[in-house]
Amino acid sequence: MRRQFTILYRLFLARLIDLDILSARGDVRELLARSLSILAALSLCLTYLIAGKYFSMGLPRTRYLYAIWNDEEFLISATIAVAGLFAVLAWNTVFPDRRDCLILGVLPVATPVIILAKLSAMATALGVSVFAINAFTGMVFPYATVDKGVVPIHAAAAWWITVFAAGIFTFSAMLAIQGLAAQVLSWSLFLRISGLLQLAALFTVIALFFVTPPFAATMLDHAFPTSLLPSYWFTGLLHRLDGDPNPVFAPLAAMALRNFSIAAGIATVTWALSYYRNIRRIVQAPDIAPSAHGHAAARIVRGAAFGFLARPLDRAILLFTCRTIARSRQHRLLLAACGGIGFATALAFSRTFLEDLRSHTRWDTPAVPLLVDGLLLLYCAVAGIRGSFSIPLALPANWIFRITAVHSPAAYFAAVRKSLLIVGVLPVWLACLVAYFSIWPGRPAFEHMLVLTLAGLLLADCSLYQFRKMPFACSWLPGGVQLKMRASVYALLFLTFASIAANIELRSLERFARFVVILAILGSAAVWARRRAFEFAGARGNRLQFEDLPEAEVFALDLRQDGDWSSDEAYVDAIDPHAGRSFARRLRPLGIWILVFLIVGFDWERIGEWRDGKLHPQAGTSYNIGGRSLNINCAGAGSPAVILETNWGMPGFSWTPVQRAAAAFTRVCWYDRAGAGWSDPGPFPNHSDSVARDLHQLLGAAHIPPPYVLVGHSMGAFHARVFRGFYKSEVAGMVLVDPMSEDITVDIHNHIEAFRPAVILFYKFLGIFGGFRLLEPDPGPPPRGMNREEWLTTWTLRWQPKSVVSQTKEVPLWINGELARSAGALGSLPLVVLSAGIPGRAEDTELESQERKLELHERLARSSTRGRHIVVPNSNSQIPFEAPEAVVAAIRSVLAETSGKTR
Amino acid sequence: MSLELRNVTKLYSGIAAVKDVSFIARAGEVTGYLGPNGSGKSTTLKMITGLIEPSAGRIFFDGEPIELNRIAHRQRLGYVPEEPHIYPHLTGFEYLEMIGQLRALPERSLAAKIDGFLQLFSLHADRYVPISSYSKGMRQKVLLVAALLHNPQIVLLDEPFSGLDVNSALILRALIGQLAARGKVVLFSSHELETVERVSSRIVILHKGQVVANDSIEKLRTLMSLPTLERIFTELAIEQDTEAISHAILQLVES
Repeated sequence: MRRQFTILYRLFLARLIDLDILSARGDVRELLARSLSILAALSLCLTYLIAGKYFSMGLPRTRYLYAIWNDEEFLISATIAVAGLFAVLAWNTVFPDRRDCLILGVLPVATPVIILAKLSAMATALGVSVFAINAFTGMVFPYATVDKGVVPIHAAAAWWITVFAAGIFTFSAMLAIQGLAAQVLSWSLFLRISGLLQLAALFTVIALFFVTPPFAATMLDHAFPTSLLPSYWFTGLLHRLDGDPNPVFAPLAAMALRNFSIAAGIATVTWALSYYRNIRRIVQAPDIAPSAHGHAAARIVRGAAFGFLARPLDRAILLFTCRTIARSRQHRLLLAACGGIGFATALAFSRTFLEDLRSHTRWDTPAVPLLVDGLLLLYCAVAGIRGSFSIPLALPANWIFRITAVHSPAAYFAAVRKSLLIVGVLPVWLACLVAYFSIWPGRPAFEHMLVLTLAGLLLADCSLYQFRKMPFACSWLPGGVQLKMRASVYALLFLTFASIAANIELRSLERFARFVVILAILGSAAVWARRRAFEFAGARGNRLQFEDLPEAEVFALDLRQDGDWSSDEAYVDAIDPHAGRSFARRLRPLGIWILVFLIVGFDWERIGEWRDGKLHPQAGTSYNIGGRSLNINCAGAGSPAVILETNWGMPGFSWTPVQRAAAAFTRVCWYDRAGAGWSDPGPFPNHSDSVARDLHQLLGAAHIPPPYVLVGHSMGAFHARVFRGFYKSEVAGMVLVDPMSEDITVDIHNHIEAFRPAVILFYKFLGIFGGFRLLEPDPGPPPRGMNREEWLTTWTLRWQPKSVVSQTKEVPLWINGELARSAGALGSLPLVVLSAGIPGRAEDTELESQERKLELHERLARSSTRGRHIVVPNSNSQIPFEAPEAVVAAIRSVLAETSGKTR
Repeated sequence: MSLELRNVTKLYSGIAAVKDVSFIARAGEVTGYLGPNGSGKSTTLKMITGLIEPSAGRIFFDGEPIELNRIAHRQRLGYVPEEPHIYPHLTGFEYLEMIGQLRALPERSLAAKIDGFLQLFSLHADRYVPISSYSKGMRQKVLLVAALLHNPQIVLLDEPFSGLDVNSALILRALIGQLAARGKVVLFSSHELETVERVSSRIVILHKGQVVANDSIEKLRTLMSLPTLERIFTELAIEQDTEAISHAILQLVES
């Protein structure tokens, strides 16, 4: 009896994981060793990432309690995911299968021995898996986060009891579902349903792991149904075992215990019953016969194949693909895993919509998460189908493909590609079509579908490059782990890429021209991939592959006569279609495309400039200041003249609202600094000193006599202060609007200054070929003080290439700041410093907090004995647009102060 | 029209499975290909199909090496393998339809042709049942239909009677003769010596990978002065004392 148990235990343990799912001809020991190593390595990484921070903090537990809760829940969730995946993989081996029944049924082995052996094997495998994923976290995390009142060994015991309970619960729950179905349904119906249950279980496990929200935040939000999340129950149990008196955990722990008991109880009963009741049924009903429904579905697929595809070969491979995926559990499971991961990741991306309905991200207009979702599902579908193509089914039957291979390999490759597109890309594409058109306006939905179409074609061609196999008909080397690793790396890269691409796409949806460029780039990539695949398919000596062979260390020269190739078994690699082509020759297509883009971009820019000139004619007069001219625009009458100095990168035209209002009581002039607005480009560098000299020359050329009241916005304040330092007697007053402070800019060093000439050169290049026109963001609605036309003019001037280049010449900011500092104090100059009452994004940083900024503005105001500091409560830093009346009032008050002296 | 093997040898890890085999199978006659287990019959047939390559020697069809135009060779070839390896998840109809499509047969008549075959082979009622549920004999019938679907010029039959019921076996026996009579090259390997004797006009006997007899049955009978093919085969290809071995097995069973 004991010997029988030992033999059966080993047998069941070896067969517990369905090896066929993971790898054809897989070696159980190697597989187990690899799986456990991966889990343990994962545990080590988690220990470093999660537990490490608690050691380095050295703070009391209460200070970071929420972080501990979140991490505990995450680690328990990971344990549940591992136990769930184990249960899915062992799905078909936990109950007696046909092989067990036929072999063991005729042997003199008692049923209790079989049950005991199977139970022990399952417990061992599950226990080892749970231990492996907690191998390091379980040793370190409880000690790192232990409360002072708890004995460390107690905390560790609570941890291990909890994770094992979570693992057993998950496995039992899966078993209970399967067992109940086996007892309630007829055997043939159960066999059919079992596969679907397995897929649903896999999806649930993956989805729960990815979409479970952070524990602490969720527990504080009482509206969230925490009773649905097993990882929450067991987090509660952990805390109760730890003796945590927090009332939040008591109901969760009770739920954990209750559900654990239910799942384990049902699993035990149904599982034991299955051994006594089902063995006869299994032997009598060996296979799944296709149902009437299945038959109808098969006819629909056949009809679709005949409708869509003209060539018999294409139909043969498409139908073979569909039928294999529909009927092979192994392939279905792989696809479900890919689909599950895809859906779960998509859900994780979109969880902002799910969790926070007050989210600022709107779902009814294009948003990055929803754009990513489409790409992600497409990738998972292509990867899943492509992966399943590589896994053979009934390998010895592939002789029929060899013996009927009467078409060229290129015809087979084309047919395989069509199958991938129809089975993998088309369903996702159609689902996206319905989804996007349901929630988004027509145009962005249509544009995104175009992007998805090209992305689908590109992915299909890239995934099938150098794929010479017939789907499901080529052997697969067990060393597929390398492939799995590669697939994982590709998936991670794609995830990163998709996120970036979605951001770019979102920007491109704002402007049609930008979208056309993105589409052209994507289309070019798709054409390139297609061409590469086409060249490969037509390469001399290329043929279908039916044996997966390791890469040869020595390549045979194969110097036989034409048409006398080696056999299929000794497959000779196809000749590289690019062999003999020089690097320059290979790059030629890319060069041609770049040239086309440059020509189109150049013409587009010229047309755009001409159009801008018509739409936004010059406002003001240009005056020569020595080989170049600057534009100035004055309105109103009176003295002193008010001179408006803009912020960095803004044209003088942006002062229009202020000028309009202030012109009623004095002469108000705005001007364009060198390169901005309608002024000619200036020297490099063009810091506050040269700006001040330019302005002085311009005022002379335009016959605007001093004194002046200078108004400077943000960085323009530096220029105004430097002007006052150079020409003290000519400045009668000053208004500084949300000015930059040299005490802040002194710490801002963004660029290596040696690169600045190169950056300017690059910007010039971009400007010539329409780069900025393409990158120009959407202007959005006009600010409060401007109408639509004025705002568009300001925006257009702001983004013209010479303006962007000139901005680059005016920085680094710290030089302007130090020039302003060296200009000295403002003495008794009438001065008003306006501060924005609404902090902007920059003020969020410690460097430039709102409090610090106000303090610096106050100090600046005090640099004049007649200085005043005013906070504009209803405006952000864009006071000239958002609250022009505040600037006008400040000008009026400064003028009032100066009137006694100057008039 | 003939199929000729000239000094064909196949080595596996240096060991010869087939050694220097030469014979000609002509159109209009059935060539019986006999030999004990492991003598190299199936290996020879696989080399003719192109599934494996000879290590030495060449195979000709109508005087032309088959490797010069493999696609044409595949088009004229019908093959029933020794083991009934068929995709079990497909139904009988689906499998045959796929083969018709892979062979680029005209699809208008394909379904009707398959239906006709399935009816004549008594498989019509099970045409939408997965092959995994088929008995060995039913699978064998599917293989026969698959081999004949495209009206091949060369018919290679490796143990075609395996698993067939009596009725089907009788039909097949008649069919083999009729195929040859229609001008096809029929190469037929079997252990059923009585059937081979009745159907074949020419016999090739293989022993340890080498041809030990290659002639018409009448000539072999005359030359070896033996009355039946079974006696000829026993004389040429069986070295063991069958009575003594069966006695030894019985003793082991009862031990």
